[in-house]
Amino acid sequence: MRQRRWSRVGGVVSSLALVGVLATGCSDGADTGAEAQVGAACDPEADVTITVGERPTSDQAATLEAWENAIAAFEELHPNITIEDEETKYDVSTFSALLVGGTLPTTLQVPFTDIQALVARGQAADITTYVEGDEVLSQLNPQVAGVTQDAEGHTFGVVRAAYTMGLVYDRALFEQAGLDPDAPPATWDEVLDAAATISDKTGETGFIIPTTGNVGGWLLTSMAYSNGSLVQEAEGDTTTVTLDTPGMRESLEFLHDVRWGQDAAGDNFLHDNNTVRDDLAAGYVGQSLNGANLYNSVVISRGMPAEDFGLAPFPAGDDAVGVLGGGNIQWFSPKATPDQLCAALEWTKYYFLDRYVDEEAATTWAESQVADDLPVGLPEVPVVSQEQYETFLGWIEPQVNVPRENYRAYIDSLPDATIVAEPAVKAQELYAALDPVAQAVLTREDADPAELLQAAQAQVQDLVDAG
Amino acid sequence: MRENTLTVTAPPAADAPPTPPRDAEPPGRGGRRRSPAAALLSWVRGGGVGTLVMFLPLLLTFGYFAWWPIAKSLILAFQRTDLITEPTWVGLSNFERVLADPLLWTALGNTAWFAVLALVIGFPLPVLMAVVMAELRRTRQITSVLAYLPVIIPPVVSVLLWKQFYEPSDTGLFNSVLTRLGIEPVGWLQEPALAIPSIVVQSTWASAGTATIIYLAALMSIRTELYDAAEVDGASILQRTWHVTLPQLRGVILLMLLLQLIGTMQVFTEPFVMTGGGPENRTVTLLMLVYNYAFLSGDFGKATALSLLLAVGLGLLSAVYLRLTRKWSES
Repeated sequence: MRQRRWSRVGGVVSSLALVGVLATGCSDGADTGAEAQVGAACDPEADVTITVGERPTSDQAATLEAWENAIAAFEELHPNITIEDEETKYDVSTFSALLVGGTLPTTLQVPFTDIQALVARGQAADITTYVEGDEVLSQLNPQVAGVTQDAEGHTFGVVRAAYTMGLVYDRALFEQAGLDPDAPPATWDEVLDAAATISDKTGETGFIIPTTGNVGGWLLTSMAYSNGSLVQEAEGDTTTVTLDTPGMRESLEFLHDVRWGQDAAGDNFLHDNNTVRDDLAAGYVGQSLNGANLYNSVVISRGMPAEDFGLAPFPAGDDAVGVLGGGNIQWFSPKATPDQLCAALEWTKYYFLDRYVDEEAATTWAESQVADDLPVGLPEVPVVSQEQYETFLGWIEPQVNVPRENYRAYIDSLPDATIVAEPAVKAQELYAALDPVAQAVLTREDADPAELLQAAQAQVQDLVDAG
Repeated sequence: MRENTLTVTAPPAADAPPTPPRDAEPPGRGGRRRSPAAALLSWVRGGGVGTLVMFLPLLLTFGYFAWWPIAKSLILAFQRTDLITEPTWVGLSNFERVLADPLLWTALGNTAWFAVLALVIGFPLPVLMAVVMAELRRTRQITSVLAYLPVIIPPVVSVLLWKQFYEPSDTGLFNSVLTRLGIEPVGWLQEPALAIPSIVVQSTWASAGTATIIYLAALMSIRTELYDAAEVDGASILQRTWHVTLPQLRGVILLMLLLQLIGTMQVFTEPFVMTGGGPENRTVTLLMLVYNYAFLSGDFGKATALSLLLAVGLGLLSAVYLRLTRKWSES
């Protein structure tokens, strides 16, 4: 009996081993695939096929048509390049799996927040060689282009749209509360006063931020920048986490004052980024902090009246070190060949950047946006020079369909804004450690900011030291 | 020899053949040992090749989609990888980093608290519902459907629905009731002490239907003679339930208890969607930590190391459970 059982077990193990061998033979392991040789020269005339993501969905008929026309025109201009397009978009939870499975496009848009993590994990192609020699790419706004570089100055992406963090507010609620929507709060004290007034006069939430999904940490970091403190210091290879700082404490005190001093933070203190947007679009939130690109999310996707959407510069504290930047970066697959990388860069320039330097491209893009009821003229940090950007605005002026006067303060602040990058090391882990700190201050009146920050700082420092 | 497995015991039917002793060899299989060649020939003649051919697709499918990923994750737990370049072996480093994470113990405590509450609140309820439904014979079908309805709702939808119920303002379903009664609104998911119990209530609502149907099916298989005999002996409803129903359900109850324990220790969707782990990490669970390691930090070594620790922990827990309940389940 015992012998039979062992022989049965042996049979199963052998079968598993056989399956394992077969599976190994079939699988596209991490070490296979056409990995680019960093810095290898590409042949611009070589026949090459690339896949590009973010093909517009069929409900955006005009944009889709413009996209397809652009691909056809691009392929006519570059007969050696074939483009295969797909609707794939960046999703942090599936990115790695798709990448290792070899099913990600050659190029895709990723947010500012994640590019450094991808670089640190070797999940973004080094395109330094191809950018340095390129007339257009080497002249992009250096203030935002720096976001795509590592500590050695290597480039891992192309910034195709940029913005800064801002104060997003509901102009209708401002009016209901007797506040002037054309004179939005500029300092933290003014934000606090406005929050109290809105809450008193309208019964809605005066000010709230998301506190889950690492967004609370992201916003607290932005607030600390505004209050004069960075969250990391780098010296050589050593990174010191600096969360228990005067700037961060001031930021927490502000949250505490809104919640417990003025009782103007509403009832829900565990908002994620989506529920705050839902409430903002529905007219339940007077003010919040977020990326200045929130228009699409709350107006286009959630139906907030365009005239109610207000955008102001990120509130200024004492001795601000600058404002956190955000935006979209064109990412390139580390599995792509040099020829594919060069072709993908050509496409990036053609479709995403030419509009800033070519009037026809600008007009075509703007007309298709308008035809699909998508915004034209939203405020953004220019990815090209300020002068060139002004020219671009002139080209698309007839198509501008958003009330730019409602963002006047924000637009006027951009030329002088100092854009500060996200923490270079373990940014997401740092944000994750700060989420509960924001939650504590909003849910416990007796929360001790110093104690919370020291604990979070030690936690993130351990993670940074562990590598 | 005693098998260390949990089985639903039922008395053998009167006309069933006697069960042979477990260690007995089947007739014709004992005797002298044959040569391997003869055994192979016998196997082929007995249709072994055909069996293998039929079995192979199943083996390959399970191997490729289930066993190989499991084996791969075992390997990953001892490696550091960016999924692009060749992984490097790091020994137990991933495990050390997991064990050094202060959030691990918070998550373990939260998960254990969730499991305990789920047992206290969520375990007796389906048994009770099944017993009541079994008694209400005329309405059994409709009550079964009603009990099972919440299971039909996709988990994320039901969690989002309950998130609305738990809305902390007085517009939330529960708080609007409280407000009408003159009670202050409660921060169901915002109060650290209430967050996990609130999630357990939702989870019980969502999953009790399945357990109820299983218990009901088991109840239906209890022979009516036992109840008749109890009635003749003058047993009340409560006594019949205690002395007939529950003992007859014992095997199913033990199995469901183990399954629930394993399931609750892997809770993820409810806290992930409802609270995102807040407030102050009070609802962060072990699986949320695995998710964060893998998909927010891209640290697959750490994620698989924690998964492995969880699997081993649950394996040990199950073994201890089976050992402790062996006597009860077989008596």
